[in-house]
Amino acid sequence: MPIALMRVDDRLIHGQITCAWLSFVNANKIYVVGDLIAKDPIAIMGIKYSKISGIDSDIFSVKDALENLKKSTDRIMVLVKDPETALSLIENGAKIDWLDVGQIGYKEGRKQVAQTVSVNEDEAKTFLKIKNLGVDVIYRQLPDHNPSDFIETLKKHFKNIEVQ
Amino acid sequence: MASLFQAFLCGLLAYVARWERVNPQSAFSSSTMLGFLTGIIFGDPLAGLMVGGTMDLLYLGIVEIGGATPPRPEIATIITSGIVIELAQPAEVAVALSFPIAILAAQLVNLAFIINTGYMHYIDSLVAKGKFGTAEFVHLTGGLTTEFLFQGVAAFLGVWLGSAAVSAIYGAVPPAFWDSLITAAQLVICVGLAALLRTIWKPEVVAFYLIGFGLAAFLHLPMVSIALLMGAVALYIFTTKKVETTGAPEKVEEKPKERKLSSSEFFRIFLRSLLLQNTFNSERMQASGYWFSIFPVLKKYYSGKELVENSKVHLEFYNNNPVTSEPILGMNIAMIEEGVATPELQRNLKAGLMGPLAGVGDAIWWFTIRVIILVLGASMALQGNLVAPFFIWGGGIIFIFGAKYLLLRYGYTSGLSLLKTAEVTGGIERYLDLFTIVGASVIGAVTGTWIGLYTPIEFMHAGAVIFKLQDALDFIMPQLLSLIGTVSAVYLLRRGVSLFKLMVAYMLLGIVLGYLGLLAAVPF
Repeated sequence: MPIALMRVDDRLIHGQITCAWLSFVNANKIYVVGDLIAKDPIAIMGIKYSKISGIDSDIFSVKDALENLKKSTDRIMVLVKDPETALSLIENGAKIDWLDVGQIGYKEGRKQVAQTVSVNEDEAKTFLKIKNLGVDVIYRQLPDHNPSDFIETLKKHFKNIEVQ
Repeated sequence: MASLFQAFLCGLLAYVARWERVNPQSAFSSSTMLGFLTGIIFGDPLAGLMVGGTMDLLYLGIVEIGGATPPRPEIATIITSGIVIELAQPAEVAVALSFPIAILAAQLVNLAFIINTGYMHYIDSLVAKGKFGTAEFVHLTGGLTTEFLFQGVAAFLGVWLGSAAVSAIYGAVPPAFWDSLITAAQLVICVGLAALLRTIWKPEVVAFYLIGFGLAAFLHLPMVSIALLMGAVALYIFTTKKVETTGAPEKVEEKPKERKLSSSEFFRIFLRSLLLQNTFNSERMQASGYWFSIFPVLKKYYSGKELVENSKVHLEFYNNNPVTSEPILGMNIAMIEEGVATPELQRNLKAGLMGPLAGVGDAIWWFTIRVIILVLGASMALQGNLVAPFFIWGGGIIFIFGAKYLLLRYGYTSGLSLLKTAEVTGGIERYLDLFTIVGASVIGAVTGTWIGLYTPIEFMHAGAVIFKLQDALDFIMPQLLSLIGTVSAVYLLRRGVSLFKLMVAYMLLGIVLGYLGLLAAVPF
């Protein structure tokens, strides 16, 4: 299962992906994964637009993504909007050493924990579950940025969070 | 020593430049222009022009994407131009001095983004109370009191105190050190070029990079000729390449609906959209700018509670490339006019399209047209051509304003029918290829023309030089070391070395090797 990078970024495909990460992790294909967005006509449209810059991308539900990942021989960059999707991918067999946290925008109920990341308590706990499955959770916007341990950051902002 | 008045003018220039860089983005804030104007302030526009051209080459590959702030060259160019002119040093010396300033400038930008979050919350509360006029005013003035002001003050202090500080150490450092800075600067520019190349590093791009390099290094063709020649080659490839018919856009059957905005109303929205990033903040990025752009339309169709609720929709997180943001704004306005704009649909439209379009916009702007304009402009600057800053500015006005206006128009007239188009690729990638080919060639030409690394190593016997190492290298290929400097940097960057660390490493390497007399560079 050739995952070059899995990233949580609620903008999904955008400039940081097309201009920096793709070449850095040497990926030749993007999977945008999410059960809701896979059915959203505008998101599907967005994926089509992203092909303008010559990028090979696809949009899948979690189940379809896992199936396609199994068959694929590409080097794939997986983009998800939220930690829940990342968790269900990992729990169901997607193999990664580390999860990149790039961007989760602010909305009501979320707390800004890093320059570009806001999460609520449930989302924080989901990140923790990912960590407990043995996957490092790293905050890193761009390849040129220093990676930092996102779980440590979460611990500072949410008290009742524990790593097993 | 810079006078207080000169420092003040430099501060003002930095203030305006950063505003321009963030908002209308017409390329007035290119380093070439800023160096030139600082040169006028210090009475030597040509020297300023040289520094500006150098800086544009150096920072060519340090791109600003997705709200991340890399080292910012604006105040670095202004301050170092001033210092270099005062000390009568070559432009390359500015490179070494520019780093710490560019990094500080980025920190100041980040600080402003955090403070702007406060403005964002203030705009929220004003909108909730229905005080729309005040909210618009806050968006219009937010950045003027934070981001741009910080840069202005930093430039003022840097010019005022900086030249005195550098003059003080100037005499204490041996001249050989300053000479070694020229070598170091050119090595760092290799890394700057590599930063751009690493992203587009594919076999066909490498080929055109090498052709551009060869035309410059072996045949000594001028930069503009190389760009035109490679443009012709690209055009040939472009017109002869087979188009896959599956990519053709499906014809939209329904006619575009009649649009209701008068041309002056439309133009006002266009002008507003140029201020998208005026109060860019770390919490919701361009949210207040998007709301500010679309507000006249909201006011036309909604009132009272409905206006407040619809405003709130547009104060949610938004982040896009300012150019490719325009079609979304246009579609959104069309949607409101047609009376189908539910909050949910508008949210989906923005959230669903902003990312992919930003990806396209960033890839096109940062790696194609901008590169060609800047490289040609910077080369003109290094030749002492006073037209250079206006060439870059003019290019920015035509391409940026042109693209923004047309895309806004396109989104507005097509409206929702854009969403029904089955395929949108329609061969646009081929245009991109065209620009990438020319872009890669001119970067190659920069390596062959402006980077002039050579080794002064000689072997002596009985008082006479018997062997010059550089002669042996030239026998293999002229400009070999300049090519190695750039390609090795691409290799290291692609292996995961961080850009900043590599720049510092190459600078130190250049200083050491230069000081020891193992490596040298032909000044610009």
